[in-house]
Amino acid sequence: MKLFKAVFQMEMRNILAYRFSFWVNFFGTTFGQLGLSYFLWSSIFGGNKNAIIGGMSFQMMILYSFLAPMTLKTIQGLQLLNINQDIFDGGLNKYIIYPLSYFQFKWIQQITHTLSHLFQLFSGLAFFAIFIGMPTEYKFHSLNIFCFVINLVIASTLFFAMEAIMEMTAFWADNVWSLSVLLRFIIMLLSGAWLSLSLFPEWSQGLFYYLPFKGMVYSPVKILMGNMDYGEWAQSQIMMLVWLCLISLVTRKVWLAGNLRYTGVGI
Amino acid sequence: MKRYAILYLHFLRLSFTRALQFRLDFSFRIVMDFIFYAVNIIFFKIIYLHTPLLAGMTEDQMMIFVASYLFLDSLVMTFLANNIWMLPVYINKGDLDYYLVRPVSSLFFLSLRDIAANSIINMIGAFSILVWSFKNYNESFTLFHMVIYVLFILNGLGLYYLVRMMFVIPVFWTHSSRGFDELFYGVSQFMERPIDLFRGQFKRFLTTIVPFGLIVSFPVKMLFSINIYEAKYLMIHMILVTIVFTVIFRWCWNLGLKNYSSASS
Repeated sequence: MKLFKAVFQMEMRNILAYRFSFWVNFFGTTFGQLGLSYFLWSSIFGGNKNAIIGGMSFQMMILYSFLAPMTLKTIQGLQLLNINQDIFDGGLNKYIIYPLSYFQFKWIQQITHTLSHLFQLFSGLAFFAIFIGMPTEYKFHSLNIFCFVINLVIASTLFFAMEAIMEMTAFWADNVWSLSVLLRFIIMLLSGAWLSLSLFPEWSQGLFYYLPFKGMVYSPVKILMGNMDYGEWAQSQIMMLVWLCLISLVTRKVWLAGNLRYTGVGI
Repeated sequence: MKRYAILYLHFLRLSFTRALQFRLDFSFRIVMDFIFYAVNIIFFKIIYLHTPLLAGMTEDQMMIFVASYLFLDSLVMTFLANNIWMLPVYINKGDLDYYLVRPVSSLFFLSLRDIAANSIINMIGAFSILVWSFKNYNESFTLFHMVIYVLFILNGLGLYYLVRMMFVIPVFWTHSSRGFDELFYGVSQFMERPIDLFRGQFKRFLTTIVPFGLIVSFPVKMLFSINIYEAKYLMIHMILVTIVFTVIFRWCWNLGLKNYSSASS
């Protein structure tokens, strides 16, 4: 716990070192997202703002479209773990003398970034509530916020495991950043970050049930909005945990196989 | 001019040699870009399941818009992206010195040196999507419309470069690792949507101050414009904004260079 705190504080210092960029980026992307979703859904709903599309009213759709990209950013945390860079330039060596394992260190960094983005997300939500107003269907419940935070920690860890596999490909290939971007595109579409999953065709709904992505953005946003029952939310969490176990096993296998190839010299 | 053309051919040769050193990455990038194209097309296909018109455009017209955006993106990825990505690193590490002392324009060298040779295959892919979208559209275009469309797309590429660089230049002052890159990716989504989706002051903002609305939307609007006055208006607007942005960009770049404190700034 003491080590966790030390790494957490160090990472927070790094994040806050560029406070100006941190807040300019936050406000710019928040307002941008809000404008984009407002005009897109205004055009789709047309004159009939009382219509229901994908199980959501116009106001709920705006709130969903506002929260979903911020949630995606939150679960992506660190975004790039830089494992490939450590492999490429021999940087893994220094972790031998660290008092905690390489993956523990990286995971704490990831969670620290997730929490900093979570702070931004709640700031954005407060802004939305004060200046735009929450939809009438929005149901505030403290239990929902608790579920949301738990969900984000699991989703962030799942993203961490997926991203780690992508970056560990660097044991065999030299330049692998495109795999990380590829993963991000897939998550963006299938997690509901771009569009609510309820808008997808009927035949795809069954598929989302078994994939790990639904629990990454769609479920946490819907539970935060009070628009999903706890049973469905719990199911998506279980599915994410099952996938997390499977992906962690693959991560371990790849890590062990990759270590046999690692020279530690750097290029 | 001839000297710059020869220099650019050297850049091309070196970039191809470098790309072939990373053969696995070559294939990764191709897959990545094709997934990106698929994600963008699927996005609009899903939207059109719930509405017949979006920003006054039918699904076929929207596919031309999406394909235009994807093609422009492939041009950016091939010719500009790697160079702009590295600029904050050069500024922060002081490596910009090496580019400033060369006997050629530093902006030319910094902006065009690295060509993503592997993205050329994606450019062919994006162009094929563009051809597919044109073939699917059940009306034909005049030669005048096609020529102006191509010129506008190229102008859009230049404008994209200018706007993108304006988000990187603050690194001279902030010394953050990526400037306002994150902000750029957040707001550049406006470029991926047709300009007529937006209204009022916001639309004006996107066509003047932060001209994301011009980069892809104006070439496509030009393609569908039947009114000669509208076409003239679009042309004058696009040219004026490009000139103003070029002047502002040059001024900001020179100001940034004055603030550049060289090694490890």
